[in-house]
Amino acid sequence: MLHDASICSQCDKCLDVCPINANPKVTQYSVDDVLALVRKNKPFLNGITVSGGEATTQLKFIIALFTAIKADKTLHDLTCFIDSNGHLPEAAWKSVLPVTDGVMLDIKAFDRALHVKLTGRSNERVLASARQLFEAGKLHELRYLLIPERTDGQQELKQLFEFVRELDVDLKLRLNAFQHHGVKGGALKWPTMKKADVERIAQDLKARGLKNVVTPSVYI
Amino acid sequence: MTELLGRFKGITEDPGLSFAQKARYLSLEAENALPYPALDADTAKALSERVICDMYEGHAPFKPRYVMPDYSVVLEKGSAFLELDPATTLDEALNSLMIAYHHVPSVTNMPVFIGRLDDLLLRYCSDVSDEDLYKKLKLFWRYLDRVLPDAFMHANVGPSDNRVARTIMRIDAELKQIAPNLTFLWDPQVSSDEIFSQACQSIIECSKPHIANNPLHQPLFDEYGYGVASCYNVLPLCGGASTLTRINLREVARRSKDTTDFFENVLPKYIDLNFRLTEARIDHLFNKSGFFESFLVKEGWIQRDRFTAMYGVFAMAQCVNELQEKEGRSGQYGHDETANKLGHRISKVLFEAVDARPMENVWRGKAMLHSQAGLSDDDGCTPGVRIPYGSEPDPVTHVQALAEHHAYYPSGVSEILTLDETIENNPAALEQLVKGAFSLGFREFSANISNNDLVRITGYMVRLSDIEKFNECGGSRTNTTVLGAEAADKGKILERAPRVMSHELSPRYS
Repeated sequence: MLHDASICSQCDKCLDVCPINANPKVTQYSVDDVLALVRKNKPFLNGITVSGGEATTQLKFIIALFTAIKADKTLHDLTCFIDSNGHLPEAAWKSVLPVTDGVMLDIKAFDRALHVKLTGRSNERVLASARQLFEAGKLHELRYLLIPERTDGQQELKQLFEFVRELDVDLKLRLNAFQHHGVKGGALKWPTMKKADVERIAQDLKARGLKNVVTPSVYI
Repeated sequence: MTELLGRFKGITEDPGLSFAQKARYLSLEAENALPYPALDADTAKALSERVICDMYEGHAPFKPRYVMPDYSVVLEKGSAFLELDPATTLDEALNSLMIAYHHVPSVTNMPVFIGRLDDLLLRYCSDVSDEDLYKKLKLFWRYLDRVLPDAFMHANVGPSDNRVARTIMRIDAELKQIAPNLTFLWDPQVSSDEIFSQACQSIIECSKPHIANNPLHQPLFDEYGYGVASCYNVLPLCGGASTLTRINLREVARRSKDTTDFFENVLPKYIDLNFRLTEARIDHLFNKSGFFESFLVKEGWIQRDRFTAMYGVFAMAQCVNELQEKEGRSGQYGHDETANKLGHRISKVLFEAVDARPMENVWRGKAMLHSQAGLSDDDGCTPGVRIPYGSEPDPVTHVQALAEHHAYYPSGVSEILTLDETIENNPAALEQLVKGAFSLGFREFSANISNNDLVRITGYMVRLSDIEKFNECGGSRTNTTVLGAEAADKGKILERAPRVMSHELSPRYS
């Protein structure tokens, strides 16, 4: 399938058509291409964040891009952040952290079996990444996705609380609420997370001592 | 009964209008029963074909379109005509302003500019507690919306960070009223980061204030400075604008064979005709109406030689697309580099033409080009140089496409950026967007947040819930319908016209 950006109406039907979930909108960019884009938009930026998919699967590119930004006189004031699921090994983090200002890290679940069920992988690396990034002073925020009846149980929330407390009660914890926007397949049958429940959980975490719990201001 | 009397009767018996709205339409009908100021045949033809337009200001201009008084005169010296002593306390100052507003005409007979309020009021606030200041200004704000219900009435605050500016923006975000409209004048050398952040936070809450780029505006004016009135018209203080006439650029493009014909023949022709229309109207105002004998001039609230002529254009988007088609190019305005560049070139040509033409009875002898946003786009014409509604690119691309126009429109060019409600999660992004836009040359910045009840239509504020109410009654979604003039059509609107309306948008009874 071919994608023509000039007539694309962003209906995303092309994503549904492909049996292996390939995305015809994917574009190849060189580091220079991205730098040109960043330069053009520089007046509107105070930093850039690489995201995905999982951005760290393109680790060499990230290192090259961040290094180029830090070395460029007109761009070096931009911060460079990574949005990640934390599945990167320790040595790989070490290679990118010197040019990275911060990482936003997703933790999908604390219970190992639940994590495997949700993501197909175990969570040891994710938890180790969080600790490593925190020690390096590069853990900008931890994110936790609340899914009703799956990740909002007492046991999960207790482990979430203890994990954050062990790192730092001032660490920014962003609670995200599962919604159907952009969701496909079986998960569409899962109920969405309601604002009242998110706020209740946030209040509870704060009451137990976490100081920097952030909740969504919009539910879509 | 003559047709005219029939119209009078229709107005008096229209159940959709309040008595004040009836009185206004009756006066407009009476004025328009008079002969138009003498126009030559070519100008009259262009006007009747609406290639040029007088904004339906009326046949006998007896007041300037926008009056921008120096209200410090009445506060500091009082007024012999109004039998007011100089104000010595905040209560007296607010009371004097409330009286003064009723004596300041504009095209709508309501004030379109109520002052740079922090400049005016700060000196009376030194012994007023924060709590009292909040209470007094809140009552003042309520008074403005209820007694002067015009969405074009406009207050200014800033650029300095001060108690009055902060309190007004706080109250404005709390009350979410349609009137008054509000502009914050921003100057990175003067405004603090805190007050700039407060302004951006307020935009997220109620789509107000509009933000003006003071470093770009201030140098164009003198020691009296400027004010922002109505739909983002930047005008000399202690004066204003006599008229606003405008060229429908789409109509000019339609009458052109191609781009060359447009630039060499057709556009220059209509630029000239619009000047003649402006001159005829200004001549009537200055030499026949007697307006400048008013106490406002004698007491120094305004000066006769400080009234500019606003030279407006609109439908740039349709004009460019029309010319693109004539040249066999498909790129659309706002989205295509060639189309955008053509638009910038048209703005430049207009600016140079306006700058080259000396005018009598006009501030500094020259008109000021204006990207006109004040009438609705029923006819498929987009306001000013804006990108058509619904086809706007993302906010950054939007700003980049239009920034180059801004240098050419000294009396104002307003864009409305529609931002997703998720901006609530990230107010810093809005701040960065404003700063980015200003660094690229934007003179002013307005944003609607997509889930706010209070939003801009062409530049004035409306409440979406009001529109919803009218929709439930079977009315159409068009703003003018909702906003008054066409609201008189009983088939569409069963209820009364809204209490607060946009009087500039309904310059005639129809």
